[in-house]
Amino acid sequence: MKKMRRGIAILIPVLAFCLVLPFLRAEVNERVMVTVLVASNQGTDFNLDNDAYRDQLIKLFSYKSYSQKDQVVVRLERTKREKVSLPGGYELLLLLQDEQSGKLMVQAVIRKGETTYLDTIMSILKPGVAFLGGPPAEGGVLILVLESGI
Amino acid sequence: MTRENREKQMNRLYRDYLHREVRNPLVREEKRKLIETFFTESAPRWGWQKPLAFAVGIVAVFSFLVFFAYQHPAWVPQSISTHQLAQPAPVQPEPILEIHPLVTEVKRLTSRVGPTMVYQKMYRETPITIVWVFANGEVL
Repeated sequence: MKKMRRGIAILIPVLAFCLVLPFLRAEVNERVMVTVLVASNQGTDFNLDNDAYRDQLIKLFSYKSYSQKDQVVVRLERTKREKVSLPGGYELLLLLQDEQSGKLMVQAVIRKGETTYLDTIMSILKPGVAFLGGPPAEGGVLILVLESGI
Repeated sequence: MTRENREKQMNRLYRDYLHREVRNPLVREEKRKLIETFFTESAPRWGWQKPLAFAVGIVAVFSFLVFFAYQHPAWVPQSISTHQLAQPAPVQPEPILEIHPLVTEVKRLTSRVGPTMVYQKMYRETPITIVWVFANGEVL
């Protein structure tokens, strides 16, 4: 009887640990910086917080003018979609799908009202950068820079 | 009385003596104690532990499955979060130019407004991935 009591006393913490373990993993969250730009061929202005972006944007795209509209840091969780308001009535929805060593799998949706302009699932290195763009806004196009591992 | 008869009588007496001794309650009690002390079979080693080990195994398997499910959550449409994005202290953006080499792997890409494209451009020996939608005939 004594042995049985001792066994149960050991078993209860083991069971408790086994049940809690999955939820410990579920609390992972990641920070992603979203830089919102509007690119156009009207004028030649570069309105960026960080001029270091300028050379890269010129190399990557063929627009003449780039204007930074916003920059936010979003904390992503596995079970919760985060929303970022964008110019032109668009919104960006981000959901963390998976997180492995050195990689971040994120679902990104750009939509306006009920219309989905872009819906993608991509894995980004940490640190890493991905560009999303194309939706027309303010006489140009919207370009989003997602930076992970900040 | 012949020698043979004497031997038989002696044997009978000896047998009767042994019989009485064996049936003696005191002797029987002592014998029982002796057997219990030295010859009782030990209890099976995994008597009550077996079901406990089984239970632990079941819980471990269940935990692994739940853990695995959390590792690969299915996309479930959810109501839009009304959570106000926290505005952190002003962050001086790190120049993209200085970010380490990156490779973005696109698993899915769809759009309701036009064709989509994924392409990479090299920038200073670093591949940069761009996901683009050609909405309403707009061009890159």
